[in-house]
Amino acid sequence: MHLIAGLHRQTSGDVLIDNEYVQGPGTDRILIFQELGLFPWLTVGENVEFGMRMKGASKQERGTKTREYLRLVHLAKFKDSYVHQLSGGMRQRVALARALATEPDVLLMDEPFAALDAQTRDLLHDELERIWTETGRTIIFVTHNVREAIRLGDRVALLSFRPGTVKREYMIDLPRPRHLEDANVAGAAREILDDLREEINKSLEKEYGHGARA
Amino acid sequence: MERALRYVLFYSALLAAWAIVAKLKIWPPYLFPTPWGVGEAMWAGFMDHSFWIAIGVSMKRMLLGYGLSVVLGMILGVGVANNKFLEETVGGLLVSLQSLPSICWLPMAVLWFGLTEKAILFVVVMGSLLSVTISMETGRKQLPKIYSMAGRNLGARGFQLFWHVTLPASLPYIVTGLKQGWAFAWRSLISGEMIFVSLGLGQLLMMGRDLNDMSQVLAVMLLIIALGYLVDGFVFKSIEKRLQQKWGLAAAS
Repeated sequence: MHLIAGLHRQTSGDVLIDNEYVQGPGTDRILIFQELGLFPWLTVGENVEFGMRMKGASKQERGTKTREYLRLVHLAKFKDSYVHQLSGGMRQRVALARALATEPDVLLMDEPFAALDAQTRDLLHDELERIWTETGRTIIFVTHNVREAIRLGDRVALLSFRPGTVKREYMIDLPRPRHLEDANVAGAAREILDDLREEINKSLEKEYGHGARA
Repeated sequence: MERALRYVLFYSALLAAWAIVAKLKIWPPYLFPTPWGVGEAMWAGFMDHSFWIAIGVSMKRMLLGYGLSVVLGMILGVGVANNKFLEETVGGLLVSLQSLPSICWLPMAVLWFGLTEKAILFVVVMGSLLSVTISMETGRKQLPKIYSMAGRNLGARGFQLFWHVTLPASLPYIVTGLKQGWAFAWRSLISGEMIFVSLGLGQLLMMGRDLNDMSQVLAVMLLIIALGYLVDGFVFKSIEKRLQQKWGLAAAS
């Protein structure tokens, strides 16, 4: 994720987006960090407009877009609150609005919902899907939760144990909206989990010298 | 409310004790003035504008000197925090220089700049620069990396990144150092003004001594305390309060 976002340099190989090399960070690729990295000294609204301000957008444009994206994540009422006053799920949505407000081509999300309770996470799945449909952005989403990957993704890439390469890719063409508990989601998860287990065994063998029984 | 009452009680007791001792005339009044004598000196000082002028002159020097040392201290602090070589060399030097009382810079300043405003500014800057620099450096190091990463990610570059991300993010870590810097600057200024004559509160204090006017000496001392306390109590307290409101209690305290 950090390589795609241009925050770190790769040691070998190239990172290409639409046939263009990635050279350092750019607002066409916005990463939502696992720990969010919202700015506590700014209000929710100021956080959302931060990217636009750096770009030098006019005050008026910033105002309209900030309102628009806060509405999109259902936080319009909290424009003037500070980050520490919000719950975990709300902070997550602020981070999402802040990332979307720079209108990136690619949105990178690094295990964004891992720290949330199940209810909030379900809700945010619905919202993310809705926002994705409305904005049509490409989203790269890292997760350890196979069902979450199938719930949200069109394409799921399974990464292998060290060295981390793409082990296999799965096209998910289940009808939307999907739900975590759906039978076909669970069915698709089964297939990926079997492949995943192989990787987990490999990692256990490396670390403890013997495999776990499946 | 009870707290206010305790304050009033304590200070009236203090005042009463002072009045009684002065009334007993153990020492002559030019060594031990009465509270009303000091009050009169205070009143007279403000009425003939000499106190106002001194406050104005001293405050102007403070704002200039302190402002300069905050800007310089931030540049130095960030530089030292970001560069391993500077940290080992300049960083160590800064800590050892801090053991030098700032008034020791005055002879040097007078030789360099003569008896000018520049000399006194130099002393004020040297008095507060080090604590600002050191707090900026430690603040910069404690600063979680995530903020500058998020800032870069959202398109902030170079000075923009410093101004909009690094600086506000490190404020809770450096506000104590800024406050200490102000206190040091204040002390350096008054001592500097006492030694070389040119308006200002320190000079007013020395003038009281030259005139054998203990009441004026005490009045000016009270004034110096009051000004220092006011800035600390209003300016810095309100900055700290705002920080706490924004960051939540945990991060800023």
